[in-house]
Amino acid sequence: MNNRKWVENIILGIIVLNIFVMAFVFLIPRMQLIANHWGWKAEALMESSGAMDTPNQYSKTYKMANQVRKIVAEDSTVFMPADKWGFGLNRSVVIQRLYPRKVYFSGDPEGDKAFPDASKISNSYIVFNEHWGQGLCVKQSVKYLEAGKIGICRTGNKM
Amino acid sequence: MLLIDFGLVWFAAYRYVGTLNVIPLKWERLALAFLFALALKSLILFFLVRLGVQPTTDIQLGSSILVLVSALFFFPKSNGKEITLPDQRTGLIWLTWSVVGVLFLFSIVNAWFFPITESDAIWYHIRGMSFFNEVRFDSEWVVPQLKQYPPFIPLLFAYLIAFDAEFLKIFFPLMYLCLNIIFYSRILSLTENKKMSCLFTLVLATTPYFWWHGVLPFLDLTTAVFYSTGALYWYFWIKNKMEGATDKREGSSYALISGVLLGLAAWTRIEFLLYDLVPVFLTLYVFSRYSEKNESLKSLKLFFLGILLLPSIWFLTLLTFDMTLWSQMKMVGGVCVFLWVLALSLTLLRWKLSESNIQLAFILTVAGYILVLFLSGAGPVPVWKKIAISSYRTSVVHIFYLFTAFLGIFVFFEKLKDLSGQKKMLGFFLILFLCTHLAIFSCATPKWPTFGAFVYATFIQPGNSVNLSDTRGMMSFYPIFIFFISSLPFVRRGIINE
Repeated sequence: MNNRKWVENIILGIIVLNIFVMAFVFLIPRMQLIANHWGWKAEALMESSGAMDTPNQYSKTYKMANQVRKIVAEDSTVFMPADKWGFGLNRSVVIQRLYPRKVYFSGDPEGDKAFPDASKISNSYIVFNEHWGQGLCVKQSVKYLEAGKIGICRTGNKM
Repeated sequence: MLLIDFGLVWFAAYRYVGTLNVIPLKWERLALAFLFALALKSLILFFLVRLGVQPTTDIQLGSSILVLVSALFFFPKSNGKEITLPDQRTGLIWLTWSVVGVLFLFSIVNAWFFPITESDAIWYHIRGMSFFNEVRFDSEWVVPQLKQYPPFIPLLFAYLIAFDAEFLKIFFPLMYLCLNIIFYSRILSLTENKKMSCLFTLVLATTPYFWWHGVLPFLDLTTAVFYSTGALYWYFWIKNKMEGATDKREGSSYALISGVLLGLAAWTRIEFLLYDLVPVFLTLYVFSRYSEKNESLKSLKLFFLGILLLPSIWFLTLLTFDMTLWSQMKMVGGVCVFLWVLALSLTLLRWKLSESNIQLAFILTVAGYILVLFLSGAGPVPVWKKIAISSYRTSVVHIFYLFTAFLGIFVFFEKLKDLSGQKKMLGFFLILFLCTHLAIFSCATPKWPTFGAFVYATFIQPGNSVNLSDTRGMMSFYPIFIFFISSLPFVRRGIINE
């Protein structure tokens, strides 16, 4: 094989193999997923398992955060449990979905400081799980979220 | 409204790029103007937020009109002509741009369909929302480390949020397209052969890692686009200088474009100021070796200003934050100060650096780095292990770039000694890039404490390491690497009948 053929063939081979890998690893699985989820809203997609190449690690947290988002108004304050009980909660996801609502996490210095006054803050809510926050919702009406043993109650009055 | 607003800034940037008179191809001018328009837009937003003005649509439209009017006033319409290449009818052009076009469309569809759910990207989204709503950079919502990251991508998100656009990932596929257009045009400018431009553009466009990051809202593709295109324009500047080109204006234009793009890389990922040391060092070497009597230092001034302006603005902003700065950030800040001292000494005080001084400075820098590495080595992972892990990673991350990495075999068929000085310089650029990469990740604490864990994450569970920071950082290397391969005489002879 002369030099010309050889060099060109190597480059063409690289291009073909790249396309082959790209198609089977990225393009086809992603397009299949898009076809299967066509018409879904962004909120529902956040709760899905995501693309094969970038699986959604936070689908559970998105489920919980999206439900809380539907319940609480934009000017609300939300008290959340910390992640230390394997709650599956990811701080960034909660903030991303609840922004511009004020969110405090139990265990954070700021959260612990604001927490005793939770009932005095207008439009404040407590998201509780089996380890934290249940006692604060004893006298309130509670709504259980779909994501496991997690519930929410309002502690602060309406404005 | 968003399209009108961006169109105004893009047109202003296009007008400016035209006045530089070094970009003969219209598509390349458009692509470069697009990158500059993003930079300009981010700067407008940055200063609005810094001044405490919420960047609402009205204010943004007003500022965009102002930018356009200034551009029309200050930058006369370019009378530069398109370059005329020998007629090279090749169906490969249609094939190339069809493939790139289809891949771009796929990336647009993906970027539009999937919402932002990727870990770091969620923080960039939060930062974008906070920039727009709270009109401040140090929102208490954001974790301290992420708060210190440069603001470019969050500013772009804030821009789209201001216009109520939900399609926040739109810029990433466009970045991918711009990279391919500029890459094609630069190879065409270098080789004056469309077949070569098409083949190597196809290699770049079909590299799966690049396409993948064209749909992911991370910082890395954007950084790679800025850094690699900056390096390509830098090469044309240095090439002209080494060839003794007499047109100083052309040199200044290339220096400014490359400086701004390299600065933009640091405006996106701050550690790229360290990678910018590679072109800075090589530029000083070339200026010391090919110095002229009564040399005008205008190009050097523009180059340094381009690189340092944006990262410096961010470092100054960080100083106003009520928080402890991250140690890595302090280190990069120190490099920024050093570069300012160097730039001012060379351009204003007109320090003369001899070739031997540059070589000595290089040896001292390496020795100093090793000393600092061992002195600051207290941590859970011993220094020798960090170096071993970093060396391993720098060598093996290329498997994630799959078949494109195989282009390296052409180097073994080339008589490297016979290469021109300019091409050797580009080769040194690549070697120094890898050395810088190795040095940076030798300093960082490895994700896993054992070497075995990295081997496992490379070959057994590649999904664990395909998106590590060092793998992503290598994206900036590949366009320059492919460009270098395209410049080899052996490869040229293999493609063109000469």
